[in-house]
Formats: sequence, structure tokens, C-alpha cells
Amino acid sequence: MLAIIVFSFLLVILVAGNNSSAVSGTIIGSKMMNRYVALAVTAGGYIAGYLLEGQFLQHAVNELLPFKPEYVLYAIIASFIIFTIAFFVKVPISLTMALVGSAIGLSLKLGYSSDFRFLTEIIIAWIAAPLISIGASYIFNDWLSRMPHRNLWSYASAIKGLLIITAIFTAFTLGANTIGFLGDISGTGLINEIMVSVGSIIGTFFFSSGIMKSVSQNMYMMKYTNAFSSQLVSALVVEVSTLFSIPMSNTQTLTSAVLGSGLSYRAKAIYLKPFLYIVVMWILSPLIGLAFTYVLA
Amino acid sequence: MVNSHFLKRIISVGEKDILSRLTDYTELAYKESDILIDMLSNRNSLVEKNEEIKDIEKVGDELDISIRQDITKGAISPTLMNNLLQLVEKCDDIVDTGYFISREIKRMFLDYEGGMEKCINLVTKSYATFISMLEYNKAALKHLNQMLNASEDEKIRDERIAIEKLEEKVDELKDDTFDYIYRNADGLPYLVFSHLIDLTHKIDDMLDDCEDAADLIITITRSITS
Repeated sequence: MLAIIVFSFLLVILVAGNNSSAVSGTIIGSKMMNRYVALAVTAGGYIAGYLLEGQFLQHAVNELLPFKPEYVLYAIIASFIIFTIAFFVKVPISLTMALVGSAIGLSLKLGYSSDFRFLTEIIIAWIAAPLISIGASYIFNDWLSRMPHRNLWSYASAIKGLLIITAIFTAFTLGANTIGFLGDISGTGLINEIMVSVGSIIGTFFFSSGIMKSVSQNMYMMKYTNAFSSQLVSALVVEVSTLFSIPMSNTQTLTSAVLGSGLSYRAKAIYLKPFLYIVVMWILSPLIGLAFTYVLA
Repeated sequence: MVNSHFLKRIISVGEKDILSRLTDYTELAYKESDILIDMLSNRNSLVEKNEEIKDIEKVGDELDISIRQDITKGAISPTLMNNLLQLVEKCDDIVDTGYFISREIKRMFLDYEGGMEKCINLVTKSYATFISMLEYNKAALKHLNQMLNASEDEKIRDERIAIEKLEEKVDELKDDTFDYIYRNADGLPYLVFSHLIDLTHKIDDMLDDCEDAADLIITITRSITS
């Protein structure tokens, strides 16, 4: 159905744009790459992730949205409206969570009983992922900071190189999970793949300037070591979720990982407000998606 | 094929390049200290020597602009930018202070010659202490230079400790000089008194700036690796 492809395309644009600064913020902020090269790398990562691993989210689409296209469209439109409003008022709503909430809202409206086991798995993953991100990032950053090094500049150079690889990996996992989830909803086939890829490029280059608060801005200002540990842990959590076909919010894992790496320092001067804000949105995003789709459908 | 220049650029450490460039300051300040010692001990060709220091200070100012541009345009972590800019300021301050001291010496001997003659013994003895302080300053600048070029944490820490010890010695000399000046202040023309107090403070400031610069280097290198 063309409308689903069009709305998915628009959502891909918003997702790609919204996450670009979190993916490549550190490498742009520290001028390791110029903005356009970094954004090109980011878009490449999204597309590679979507094309190579996007199909892993097909199971989630089958379980959450086993409806006729005209009904699926409600969930897409509801998510699009919620996310567009959030994007422009700069509220960090998770599209993944809103979309899953929309799918549940649609099931409730249509009287369809969703796979309870899969929903439970998703909820457990959503609770576990931030906790794992905080813990793993704490341990990894602490280990990295204590790691003995003979030559500090070689160490710094290696961390910078790894930061670029991690940024590409983060883009890849986002492409596989969130963009993959959207791509799987909109369908399969070459045209769909082209639309999603083009959407990723447009979003990355033209919608990444208006960065959302909290995580993205933090990424610009992070030190090399904790930016690296936070991004790596977050990307690994999203990647594991993808392999288990669980839609996972990159913003949630990254914010938690940033908090974890911050906690690993002896002197802690952590601004907790963005994290608490994210926790609130973590609860509200699926509920807003659920309620809005229920009313709309 | 991957462009090796591109690869080199993305993993080059901008912070290291900036620290290496700052060694120019330590060399300029070292040269300046040598000239100042010469001015204090011989007190001849003061105009020419002052001009030499003026030229050094000019080079320092140009360096300041150039390095600041590199910091704001280069591959530097935004978190370190402020520390690096402060470090440039500290290094430039050392050179600027040298120029202030040079002008002060020239002014006192050429424009207030008569007054100085009245208390030449006290001035000569104070100047001898200033020369010692400047020798310590040269030693501190050498350590700062090595610190800027170092790539091992331990070496950086050791150099920092060495600078701290030199600064403490200069602090003691400064206090002794003040005691000596105050004990002999009766009959000392006000301008001479003010001149000696100013020089004592300014030479001590040079060492303080060296120590502050060393602290900033520690902060920067720790921030990179933790």
C-alpha cells in the first residue's frame, strides 16, 4: 500500500535526522571528520544496517502488526504525528516505543489478542536494556580509564580511530533496528529498499541540524574515552536486541550508557535531568502511541 | 583504495599537535630569560636588549593568534578546548611578563639613573637574587618544554613535580627579597622600592605561570586518557 510506504519513508527521514547527531556528534564535535563526511558515513551505516540486518525485525512486525495494510496505516500515521510533534518541539520521544505502543493500541481496538509472550519479552528487554547499558558502560569505562598505556598519544589516536568505528557501528545498529523495523512494516522489495535508503540519506543530511536536547548535545561535549565506551555499549545492546527481533530505542540505551560511564568517575558531576526526562518519556512513549492509535483507528 | 592521508588525518591527535607547538613559547621565554639575566648583570645596551625582548614578545603574540586559530579549527575535543586556550594564555603571559620586566629595568636605569645610584648596593644585591630566580625560571621552562613533548604519563608527572619544586624555591627567594627590601627601606627612594617589589612579583609570576601551565597539561592529558 502506497500510503504506508510514504509514511514509513517520512518516518525514516525523521528517525535518521533525529539520531544523526547522537551517532556522529563526537566525531563532528572533535573535528575528526568534517560534518559532511561524518554524515555520509552515518547515512552509509544506516543503509548497511537496514539492508543487511533489517529483516531480523520482520518477526516483530509479524507479531505486533498482523493486520491488513489499511489498519497498519493507522499505527504508522499515529506514530508519524506523535513523532513529528515531538521532533519539532524537541521532546525525546522514542519512535520505536511509540510504534510498538501503537501496534498494541491497534490490537486492543481491533480486539486482536497479541502474542503475550513476545510482548513480555519486549517489555523485559526495554527494562533490562537501560540497566545493562548503565552497568556495562560503568565497568567498561572504568576499565578503560585505568588501562595502563605506554604512550598516551598512541592511546588517544587508537581511541579516536575506535570512536569512528563505533560511530559507524552505532549507525549500523540503528539502521538494522529502528529503520529496519520501519522498513519491514512498509514491506519488502527493491522499491521499498530504495525508499528507505533515500529516506535515510535525506534525513541524515537535511534533518540533523535541529538536534534534540539531552543525549545528542551531550555527545558533542563528551571526552573521547566515555564517548567511545557509551556508544559501544549502546550499539551492542541495540545489536543484540536486533538479533532477537526486539525493537529497541537507541536513545534509551545511549542515555543510559552515558549515565553509566559518567558514574564510573570518582568525581561525579552528572546532570541527571536529561536522564530523568528520558525515563519519563520511556514510560510515556508507548502509552501515547497506544492511546493515540486507539482513538485514531 | 583508502587514502592514507585521510586515515592519518582522522586519527591524528590535534591536542598533541597543539602541545608540540607550545614548545615555541618555552624557547622564546628561555631566550627572554637569558637576555633579562644579561640586562640585570651588565646593565649595558639596555635599549638594544629591550628591543630584542620586544621582538620576542611580538613573535609570542603572533604565535598566540596562530595557535588559538588552530585550537578552534583543529581536531580538538570541545571539552579540552577551554583548557588548551587557557594554556596558550599562560604561555603567552610568561613571554609578556618578560617584556614587562625588560621595560621596567630599562626605564629605571635610563630614565631614573640618578635615583638608582643612591642605593646601588641594595639594588645590586636584589638583582643578584633576581638572576637566581630567572635561572630557576629557565630550569622550569626546560621542564615545561619536556612536559609538552612527553608521551608518557609518568614523565609528565615527574616534570610537573620538578616545576613545582622550582616554584617553591623561587617563592622562598621572593619572601627573602621582600624581607631584605623592607629591612633596608629607610632612605630608599619610593620609585626604587616600587621597582624592586614589582620585579620580585613579576619574576615570581613567570614561575607561577609555568606551574599553572604544567597543571593544565596534566588536566589535558588526563582528560584524554580517562
